[in-house]
Amino acid sequence: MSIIRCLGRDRRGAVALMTAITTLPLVLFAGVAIDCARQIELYRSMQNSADAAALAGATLLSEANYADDVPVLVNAYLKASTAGVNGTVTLPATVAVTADSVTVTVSASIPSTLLSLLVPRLPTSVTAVAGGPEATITISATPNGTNAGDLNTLYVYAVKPDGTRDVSDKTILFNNNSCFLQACVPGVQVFNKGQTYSVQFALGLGERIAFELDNVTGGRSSSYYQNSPNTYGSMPLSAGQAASAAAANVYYSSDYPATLETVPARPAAGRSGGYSAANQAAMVNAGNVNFDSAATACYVYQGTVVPVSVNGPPGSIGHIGGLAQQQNVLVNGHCADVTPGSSYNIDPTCLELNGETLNINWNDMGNPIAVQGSTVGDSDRYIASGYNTFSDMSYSVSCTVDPGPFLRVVLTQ
Amino acid sequence: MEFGLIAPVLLLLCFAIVDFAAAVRVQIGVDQAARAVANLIVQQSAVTTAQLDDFYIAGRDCYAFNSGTFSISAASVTFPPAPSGWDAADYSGHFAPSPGNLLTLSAGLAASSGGSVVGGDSTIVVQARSTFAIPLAFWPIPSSLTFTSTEFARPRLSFVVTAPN
Repeated sequence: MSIIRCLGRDRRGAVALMTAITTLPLVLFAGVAIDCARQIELYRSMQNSADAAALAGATLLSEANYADDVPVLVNAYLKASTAGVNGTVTLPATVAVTADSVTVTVSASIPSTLLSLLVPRLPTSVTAVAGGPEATITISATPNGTNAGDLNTLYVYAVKPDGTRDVSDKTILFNNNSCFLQACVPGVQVFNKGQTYSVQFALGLGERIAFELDNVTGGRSSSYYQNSPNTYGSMPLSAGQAASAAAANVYYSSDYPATLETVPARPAAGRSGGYSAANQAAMVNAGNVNFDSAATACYVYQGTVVPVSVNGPPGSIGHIGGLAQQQNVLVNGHCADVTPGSSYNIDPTCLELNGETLNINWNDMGNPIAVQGSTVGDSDRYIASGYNTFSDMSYSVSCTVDPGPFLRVVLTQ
Repeated sequence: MEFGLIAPVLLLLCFAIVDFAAAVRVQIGVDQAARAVANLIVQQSAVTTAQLDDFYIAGRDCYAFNSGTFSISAASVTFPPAPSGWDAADYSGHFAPSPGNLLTLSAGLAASSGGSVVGGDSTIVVQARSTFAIPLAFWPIPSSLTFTSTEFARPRLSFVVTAPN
């Protein structure tokens, strides 16, 4: 009994006993401090990587129709940037691509240290969303000519990443209406040949640029007027023209081939065809449209829009001809690789138009071009001041977005 | 006497916690520095020498630790088939000496993405590095630790950020 009392009163060895009792809680507290810090560091590091990958994906989305490539790029960035992470990263990450955003969700875990008694691994999951608000681009278009008798109005509209067109907020570029002959339409720019017109246009992430041509046969007046308000002339309508006068046709350059929305279509018989070698030479000499030296002609078919030439670096227009990244369809200054008999849609991105001038020609009837001074062909020609065009609307277009060709992408989450 | 035996263990535990917290802060600083410089570069279409110097200062300010050494290197690597872009050597006169493996790192990125999603695509690679002196170091805590952070960022205003002349 005395020995027990003696032990009870003995204070020696208390520290060892207290240490033994408190060691486990101390280690756990230290584990919480250290492992939570490691988990936070892992989370922060993963968030950085996910942010960078999402921004990279959104930037790719903003450039062209590369939505299918976005997950590949995102995972490549994630793999590279998480290579040094002290943990296990679950790849491939989940990548959700919408019309205007890229969502990246990636998880990782790290083995715990002092907390391994309780939790063997510390998981984390991060999400990053990058997208682009609408950017204002500037479309600059210079009309080269238009059919004289038809009322032609040119609009710019957006093509969504899924290929659908959004003409609900189309913006007019100009038309060939004449205030001299008809009442001016408020807000409508009546073009003068050779003058450059610029409009501001809102474009969302991944959207492309396309053009709508509203063509009203004989819509300018009851008479046939040659091009531009500066060169009025009067010719009586032919029987065919009179019969189809006021027929409204709407064409969309993003369709493949360009869509004729409103009938009646003009008879195509005898109207399709191309340029003869002599006509090509005449065109080159006229300085309006450039052709290569090959015998291949640039055909214009009914209801089509044909990009004739690109004044800029070759191979940089990526979405013409219905095939993304179809380079070499257009090369600098000529249309040698445009396949005769094919229709070509035009819906480039602003990036693709950066530093370029794209010359576009519309034709609603598929007429062969007339040589300057010739009577070959019919009314879809413009003969004045050394110009020959073969279209209802012939114009050059370029695009800029401030401060650069890419649309701004930002992290939205 | 007993506490004398226990005290080193307790002190080691306390110092380890303090040092670990400091190390985490340094790692965060290095990460932020690399990220800041990368984000500044990718928002340009072209960079000048003066801009690079400013970016380095911005990265150093993000690091915000006076002790130890700190360096940043950066490179732009253009993936085939476009001509090669500029590499880390272009920055050697402005940033601290390059770790020298930026091209290797970005080559791995190119390989993992199948070469290039878009011909002529490029990536900016920024690597920040710091050797940090541990404030409360004694065995077994090392006297210094080296932290490295590598940031990959895609140019946002052009395919390639043009290097300074």
